[in-house]
Amino acid sequence: MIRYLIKNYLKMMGRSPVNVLLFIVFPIVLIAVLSSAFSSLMESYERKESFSVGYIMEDDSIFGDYMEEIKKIARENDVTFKAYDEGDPDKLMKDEELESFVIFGKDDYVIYKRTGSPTEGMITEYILTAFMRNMETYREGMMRGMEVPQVELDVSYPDHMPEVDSIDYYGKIEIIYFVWCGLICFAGIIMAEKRYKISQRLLMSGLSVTKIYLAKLISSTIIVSACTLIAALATIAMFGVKWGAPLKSALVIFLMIVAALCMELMIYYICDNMVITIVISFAAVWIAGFFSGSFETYLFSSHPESTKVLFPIYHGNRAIVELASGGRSDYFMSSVIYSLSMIVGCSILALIAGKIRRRGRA
Amino acid sequence: MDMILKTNDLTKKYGSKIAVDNLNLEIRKGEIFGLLGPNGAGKSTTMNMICDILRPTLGNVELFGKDLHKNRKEILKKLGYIPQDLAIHGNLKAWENVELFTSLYGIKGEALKTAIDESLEYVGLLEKRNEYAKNFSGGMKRRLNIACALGHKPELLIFDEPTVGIDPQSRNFILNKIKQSNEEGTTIIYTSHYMEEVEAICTRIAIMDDGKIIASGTSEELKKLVVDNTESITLEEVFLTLTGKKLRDY
Ligand SMILES: Nc1ncnc2c1ncn2[C@@H]1O[C@H](COP(=O)(O)OP(=O)(O)O)[C@@H](O)[C@H]1O
Ligand SMILES: [Mg+2]
Repeated sequence: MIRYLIKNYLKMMGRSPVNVLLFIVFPIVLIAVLSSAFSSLMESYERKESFSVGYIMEDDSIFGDYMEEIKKIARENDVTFKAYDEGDPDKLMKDEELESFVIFGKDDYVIYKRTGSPTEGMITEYILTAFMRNMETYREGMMRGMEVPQVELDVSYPDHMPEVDSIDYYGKIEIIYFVWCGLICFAGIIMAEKRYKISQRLLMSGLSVTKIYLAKLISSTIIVSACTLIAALATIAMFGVKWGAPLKSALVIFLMIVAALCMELMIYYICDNMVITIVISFAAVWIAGFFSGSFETYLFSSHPESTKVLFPIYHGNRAIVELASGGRSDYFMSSVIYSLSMIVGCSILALIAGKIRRRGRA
Repeated sequence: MDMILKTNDLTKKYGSKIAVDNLNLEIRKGEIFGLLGPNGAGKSTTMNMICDILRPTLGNVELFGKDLHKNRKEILKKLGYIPQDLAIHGNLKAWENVELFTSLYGIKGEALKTAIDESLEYVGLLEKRNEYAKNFSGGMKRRLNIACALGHKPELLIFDEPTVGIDPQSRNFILNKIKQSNEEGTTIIYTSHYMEEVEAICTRIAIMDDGKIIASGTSEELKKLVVDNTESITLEEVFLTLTGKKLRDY
């Protein structure tokens, strides 16, 4: 029966004020500090009222027939697409005051972004993504029915290219960051269990390694979730942070909480030393945060996308920010899947390590 | 009589250090068996192997007539182990500590509540049930440590130096309780390096040194090993004669 074990773990965690401090006070302090430090920077990245994008359409491009639709989406967003026959995109952008440039190939397109205009570059990207999305609907309609359905262009979509204000951004991002430091709330208990040989006492009751792992995971998940919820509510009350799609956002964050705890428990089960576990976890989380926009916003960071997608925090950050500003996000599913894989993978490794250790001792 | 515990050539090595060396113990139902030995003799290591906390390098443990490793779950339910270390959570109240460890044996609900109160009553801590363990004195912590092993009503209770570092009152209390448990039918294994304790409560004694049993029997039998006139010698002198008088730096 691990019910009582969980209950007593919860009591112990609830009685140590460090948890409350770490998961509620720290993120709020960071939000206040970072958002004011970066607010001027983010303002400079606000998009121009209207701007132009150059493009070259290659002869055999499948996009040729759809250029009017692309232009229509662009117009709704105060963006003008200008056609060119040939030329070097970088040079054209400079000479013709274009904020970005698109070359439509046979069945793909390449976007050139002008340095110094990342926001406009991203808007261009979103316009094309929005168009592609409509293309799919259109094609599906063609395949299914005889009548070609009237395609409603989802012109509002590029709006979720966020002109995020810094408090709204950091208000979410720092909460997510601390979610990834979850095991801290349990570290004291694990250290006491080792120092006073309580872990041995647990095992000699005949309780399996798996059940003890579950008790630890469940109780720390409950505490971190509760603290995170309070911290998130506090961001709304104190800074007016706007969170969107509450159920989806909550799911993304909850799965990240469990994934983080699984990862950190796994490190502990492998190295059997809490100090090393904390050092490794914090270093890993810091690096992941660095690439994922936890300190400098991911919107404008110069790290390549291919590096950023390696980190689960990046998926979580984008999912949460985009869910709030646009109500949907391509990173919602990828974040969920990433977290679930981590939960399963790390748990398996932790249990294998725990059982090997137990066998060596017992 | 019923054999409760039997170890067959039980051995534990740490690298080249042999902590327990080919130990063959037999303990019967109803005994208070005293394992006496200086620090570092290998008493705790032996107890840890009996409780499945450590795996023997060689040999095996039979409990209640069954091999420990093949019947772990069943056997461990009948064991109560009071470790030398105070394995309790300071941040939990007395009753919560007992609840935590008793519940591990599958006891729940009303039965659990009753077991908690009985265990605390048994060690004289019922009045202190709502106090945090971290605020307890050394003697109270020792008693709580014992209470945590009683809730599931084990048939065999193993005490590993339960009287180290406590006041004489608590010590007396603990020794009397051990006797009482035994009278109520529990078999006891008691390890200590205090002669007079072992002599006072144990029905049979084994002296352990350097991982080996160097003598065993009742206290009378042990005294006879050294001198003929058992009146004139204390068990302490027997112990010192048998284990040698050199100082031990542990
Ligand atoms: N984990 C360990 N690693 C190496 N040596 C150990 C370990 N545990 C105990 N020992 C050694 O084994 C011997 C027996 O220790 P122990 O069983 O604790 O003695 P006792 O309980 O009789 O005081 C000691 O010499 C001790 O140093
Ligand atoms: Mg010892």
